[in-house]
Amino acid sequence: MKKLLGKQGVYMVLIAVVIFIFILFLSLLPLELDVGAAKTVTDYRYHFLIDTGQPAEYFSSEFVAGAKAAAEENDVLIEVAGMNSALDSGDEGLLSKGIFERVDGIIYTGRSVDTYERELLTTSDCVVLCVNNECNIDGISYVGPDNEKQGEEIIQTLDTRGKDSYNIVVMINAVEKELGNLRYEGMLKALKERSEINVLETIYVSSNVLDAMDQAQKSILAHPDIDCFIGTDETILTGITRGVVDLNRVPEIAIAGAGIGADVERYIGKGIIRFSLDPLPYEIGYEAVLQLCRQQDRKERMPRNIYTDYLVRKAPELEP
Amino acid sequence: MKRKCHSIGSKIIAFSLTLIIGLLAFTFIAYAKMSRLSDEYRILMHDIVAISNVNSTVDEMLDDFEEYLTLKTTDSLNRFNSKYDELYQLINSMSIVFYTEEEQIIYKNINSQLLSFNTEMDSAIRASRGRNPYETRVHYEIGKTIVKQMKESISALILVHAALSEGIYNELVTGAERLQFMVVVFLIALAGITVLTAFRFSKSLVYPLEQLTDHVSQVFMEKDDLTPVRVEANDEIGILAGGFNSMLVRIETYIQELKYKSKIERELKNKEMENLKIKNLLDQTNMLALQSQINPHFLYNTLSCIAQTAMLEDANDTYTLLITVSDMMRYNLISLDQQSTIGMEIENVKRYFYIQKARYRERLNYQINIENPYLRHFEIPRLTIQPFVENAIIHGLEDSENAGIILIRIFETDEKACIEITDNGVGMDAQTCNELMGELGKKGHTTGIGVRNVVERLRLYYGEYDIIRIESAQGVGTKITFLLPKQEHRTIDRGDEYV
Repeated sequence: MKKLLGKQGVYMVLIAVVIFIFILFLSLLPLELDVGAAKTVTDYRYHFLIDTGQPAEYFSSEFVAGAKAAAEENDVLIEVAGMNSALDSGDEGLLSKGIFERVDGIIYTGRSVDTYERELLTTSDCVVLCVNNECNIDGISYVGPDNEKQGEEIIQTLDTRGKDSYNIVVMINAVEKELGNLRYEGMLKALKERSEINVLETIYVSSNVLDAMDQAQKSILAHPDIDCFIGTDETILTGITRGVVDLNRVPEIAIAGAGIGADVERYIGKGIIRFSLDPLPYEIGYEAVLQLCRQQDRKERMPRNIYTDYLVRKAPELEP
Repeated sequence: MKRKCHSIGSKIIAFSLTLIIGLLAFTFIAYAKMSRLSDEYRILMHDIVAISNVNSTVDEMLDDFEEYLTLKTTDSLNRFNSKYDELYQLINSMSIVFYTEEEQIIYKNINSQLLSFNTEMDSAIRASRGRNPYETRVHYEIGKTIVKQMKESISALILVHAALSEGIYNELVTGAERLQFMVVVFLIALAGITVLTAFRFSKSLVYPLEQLTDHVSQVFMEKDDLTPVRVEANDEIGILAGGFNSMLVRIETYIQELKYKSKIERELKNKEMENLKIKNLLDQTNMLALQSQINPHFLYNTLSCIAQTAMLEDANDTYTLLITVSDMMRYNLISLDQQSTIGMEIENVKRYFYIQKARYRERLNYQINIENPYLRHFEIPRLTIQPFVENAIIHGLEDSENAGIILIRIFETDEKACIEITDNGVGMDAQTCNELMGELGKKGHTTGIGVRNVVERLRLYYGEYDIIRIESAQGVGTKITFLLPKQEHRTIDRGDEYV
């Protein structure tokens, strides 16, 4: 450039280089926005609506993860209430709204179905599954652990060594009662074999930490000789644990039950909760989506109950 | 000669083109980016407006259906159907950019809800036509529920889109700010470099011009200095400076040539002047010589006749004397521009001495001593020694009471051939000496050639002024010494013609 234009050529090259650098930076400036999802929702085979509680909760997040894994394998669109849906988690009108949205399947953690919804279900091609809590509702199948067997497992796993009389208080999710209360039925069945275990109280609470905590403390005050609290889901177990810890009745009052989450794991690790049944929500979610796909593919009626495995998590099995 | 320079015009054009093209390219890309940002924002606003329009149309559709259920007219049904179609078209033709899967799901659900609503309304219409108010009511209520759900979905879509839009809007604003910042930085950087380049460029033009003009003024106005100007420029200014330097070199060359010519001319002129002087001197000498001469042939014949007569009369001395005079005259009458040698001059002096001895007899004695025989062949102008000898006899010895002696010594030094004429005459004072050498110096008796003439001829011949030295003391004598520079001289190969 110097030979071509002399000394001034160097400055011209400098100007050209500066301009080029700025043009390059300008071109690389990230101003474009991502446009939509990679795949449109109309391209999926099926559209399933899922509501298994607040997406932030352990059961729900693991369930959805399993469901998404199955969905990806089967080219299924997963709409999760409270996550990527206009519907909120726990919406009372979930079934009807799902039917009106013409989804191919609805998965929920089970509650009673009114006449209106029953009517809609019979005239709709939508398949409904309840999970984790068995529901004796016509037209709705269940995917999850055997609740009755879970109840039996809980009583059978209780460690009553050194105790001639072992007093327990059972705290159950009120929804379970609506659905048949099968875990409690299983507990009662197992209690027949464990005569040393006495059920001091059976409490039905909403799946709410504060309610469970409050009830636990009331029970402790009412029954100072409580040896163990049984909770039937992770929220209730967390509430019970906080109530017992708050009244400083650890370790004399044991806590056990069904359900797993971050808090429950921590309490199990500390030995505050002696054990809990892990329903393996990921596997439930995966299996539930698979079952719905099979149902839609073959257009045949699903089995009434599809039981999945569960694990008993005791303190040594969990990471500290 | 091939021109190896970079035109100022080409530099300006290149500089301007670089700047313009660069600015245009940057402006184009910046404009494209800004347009893209503007489009994104416009789409954003359009999406929200489009979704809101769906919301209002849903209400209108339900109102139309309620009106039909009330009026049960064909027109009201048609209005409902057209509104339904309008809503359907509106929903399906919405060119919304969905940024997330959630938006797409809600949009899909809205479409599904519209279809569900259509199904329920069809059932309601059938029930109405079948005059089944209960069933009509049921389906209508379900339809209303669906519409309510649809509106909830639309509201959810608006909320989600607005929430995303806010983030997107912030991204757009950030992007615009980044773009703005980059443009500003670019302009500042470009302005800085352009100013620097323009400054250097103008300096590269102006400075050589200043150097050139300064040098021009020095060369032609202030001092006579023809040194070349050193200008660092590779454009027309460089060519101008090169041409100027070439011009200076030529001028210098011409000046040197002129000086040389002038010097040569001066030297030629000087030579001409010298030659002219010599010629004048010779002419003068010849003239003088000619004035004192009569027809030589007649004289020679007369003297020869007299000599023969003397010989016949056995007057040998007279015969010898006459022959000597004849020889001497013959020698003296040869043109003065013909050179002689010391040997020939000495022989001529000897003849003169012989003649004068006849007059002065014992009163005149002489001695000639040539230290180096080859000095005989040393070239000197004719009639150099004899006038001084004559002068020594006439003015030095004639008035002297004593016998006179003249010594002639021929010797040499490293650089000079010397002729020394010494007499023991009366000597002369300084005034007399000056008179002797002056313009009106006395003429010689025999030749008519004065000593000054001899001195002038010697000076011209040898090109030296200090050719003679006179030492004289009154009552003692006089010594005259010729200091003749040894030049490249030719020996005169005439044999001993006049010796």
